[in-house]
Amino acid sequence: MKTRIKELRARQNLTQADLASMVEVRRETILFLEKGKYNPSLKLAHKVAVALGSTIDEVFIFEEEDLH
Amino acid sequence: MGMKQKYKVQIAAGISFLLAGIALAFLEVWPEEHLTPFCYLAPVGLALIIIPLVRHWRYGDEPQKDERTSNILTRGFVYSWHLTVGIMVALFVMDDAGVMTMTVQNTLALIILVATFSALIFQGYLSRKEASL
Repeated sequence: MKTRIKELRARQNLTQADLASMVEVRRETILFLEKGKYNPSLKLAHKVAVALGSTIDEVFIFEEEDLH
Repeated sequence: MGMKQKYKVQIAAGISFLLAGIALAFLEVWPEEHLTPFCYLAPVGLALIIIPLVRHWRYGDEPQKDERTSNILTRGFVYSWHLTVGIMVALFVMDDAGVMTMTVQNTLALIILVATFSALIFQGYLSRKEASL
């Protein structure tokens, strides 16, 4: 899974800690999300997307191999 | 950075436990063994003081846990449970076959150690690796 969290976060001048605080998770969780190493729940994905002023499908990009 | 109210309460409780242990030791409530109340209450008190201090230093204002860390904790316990059951089965088979015989106390001690430390090890490993579910 790829994400655009880093790019969208940079656009809004948010640090990982800022975003973590906005979506009420630990900073390491944002780090793992940005690296695509954690599949968030739908609820967290929604919170992240809203915090970044975007939508889930714009923030989280699933590729064919992620679905198997 | 202010300390969370929860941590302050835990530290206050820890200090109370510690002082109660010291007071009961001096009051000689257990005349035959003065240190008995201290031995029981002091470790609890110290744990209640040290754990919130470490958490405050490590996490600060951040949430102590979130969905990723909760998943890691759960998965760690699940793996640990499977390992512990596996070891219990192995001990049973070895005892039944007469290969190795252990006392009940030793077996229980082994199970407690395996269950506790394997959960910590699995959780530590998962938190470093990743937590995709």
